[in-house]
Amino acid sequence: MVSNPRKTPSIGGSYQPLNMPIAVNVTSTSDGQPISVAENRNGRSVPSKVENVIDLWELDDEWWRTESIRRRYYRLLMESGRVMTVFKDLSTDEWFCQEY
Amino acid sequence: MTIACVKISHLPLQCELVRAPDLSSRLVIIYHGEESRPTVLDASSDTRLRRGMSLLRAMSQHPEASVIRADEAFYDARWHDVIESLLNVSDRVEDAARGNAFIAIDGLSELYGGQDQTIALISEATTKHGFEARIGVAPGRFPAYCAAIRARPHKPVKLPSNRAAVRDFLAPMPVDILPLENRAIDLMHDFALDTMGDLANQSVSALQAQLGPDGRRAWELVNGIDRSTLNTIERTKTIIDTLQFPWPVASMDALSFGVRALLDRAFASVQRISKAAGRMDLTCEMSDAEHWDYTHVFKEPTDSATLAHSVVMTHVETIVQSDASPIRSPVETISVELSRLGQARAEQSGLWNDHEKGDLDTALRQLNAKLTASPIKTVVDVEPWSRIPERRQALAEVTSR
Repeated sequence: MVSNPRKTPSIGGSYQPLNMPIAVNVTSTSDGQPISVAENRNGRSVPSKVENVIDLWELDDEWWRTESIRRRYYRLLMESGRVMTVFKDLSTDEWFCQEY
Repeated sequence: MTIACVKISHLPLQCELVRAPDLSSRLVIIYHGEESRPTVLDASSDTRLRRGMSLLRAMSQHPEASVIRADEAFYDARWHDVIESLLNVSDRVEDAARGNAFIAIDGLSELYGGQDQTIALISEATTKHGFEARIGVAPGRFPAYCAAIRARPHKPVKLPSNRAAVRDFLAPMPVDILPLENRAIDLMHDFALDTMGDLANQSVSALQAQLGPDGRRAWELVNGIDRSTLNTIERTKTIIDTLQFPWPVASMDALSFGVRALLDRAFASVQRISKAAGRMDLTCEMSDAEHWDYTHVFKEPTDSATLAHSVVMTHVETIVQSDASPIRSPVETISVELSRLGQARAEQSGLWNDHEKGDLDTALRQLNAKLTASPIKTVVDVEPWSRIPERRQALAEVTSR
């Protein structure tokens, strides 16, 4: 039998999702606005002040499931000049860092 | 910068007179525009008709005039010939509009033996195509244009390079010539500033206060200060080749064979200079002296004669089947012009060729045998449209089969 010359290596069955949320410590005001985020610098957690909230949006999905996804995303300009995106899980009140 | 302005007044009319010299003894009106509302494009100067006037009104004033429909493509081609000739005199030529060109003549005196000789060569570049041009020479674009307006054919007007002389020359000319918006010109007339001399007598701050940036520019122009540079055209290189059949051919096969031979030759010239053609102009001359032209602009520059041949023959096969086919008689000569020569489009090759894919497969098999799980992973789209970021892409193992 002649082998197929166009055959390329195939993709296996195991998947590892990319861009998973990473838990972060966020200090927020009473109305929920983040004021500082613990940034990871050289393996150490260093609190960094939020200079400005650039954008804010909510994600409400999979409401038909037992555990729905309810998140409030913030795009933040940090004091260091870095722009980062964090969200608050509205079901658990936990904060995560995730590029959107 | 010393600039010569070449102005060919009544270019459409002069083109028609070159084509049909017997018209010179008659009044001529050339019209263009839609059939329902034709307007005057050009007319013999004796008629005193203005461009844009309704043709019906013009004909009512001059019922004896010969009325000709404008052949804009012909006028453009003739003007293009003039520009080509001017480019033989100087490599810094601006094609401002049909009938108006600017030429930087600095440094040409040493080449041609003086400014007069340079102007004579510029004049010859227009007269050899049968045109009578007005030529103005001045230290700037605008004064050169004004000098050309004042010039007569074969009698160029040269302005000295000092600003005071330019200012004195411009002083009696109307402000309407200034290259400004109509609104600014109207405002000047409202202030009784009708000539450039009137403007030059004003202070720059007063003009700027009333007209803004236009006021400053106007003041500078009428005082002989023109900082504008020429938007020079780049001479395009073209490859031209012609094939004459030993006898007129009427069959599609013979025509296709001839087109292929011609394109092979022309594209070989393109490949020799490591370029690709962006445009192809093909002309067929038929036995009844009729011409058929076909122009194709390639999406991407190409150096492939095969592609060009398939483009031409697909078009030819389509048109010969139509009732109004332009190829009605046997073809005697075909010629091709390849222009817009540029770099060929770069094509991205695959990361691995077939041979390397085999090597990769072997390497993966060996790694799997050694490590039990594949260490090579690839990013795959899972739900790229998902609102939930972690659902969009995933890392997947690459395994051999």
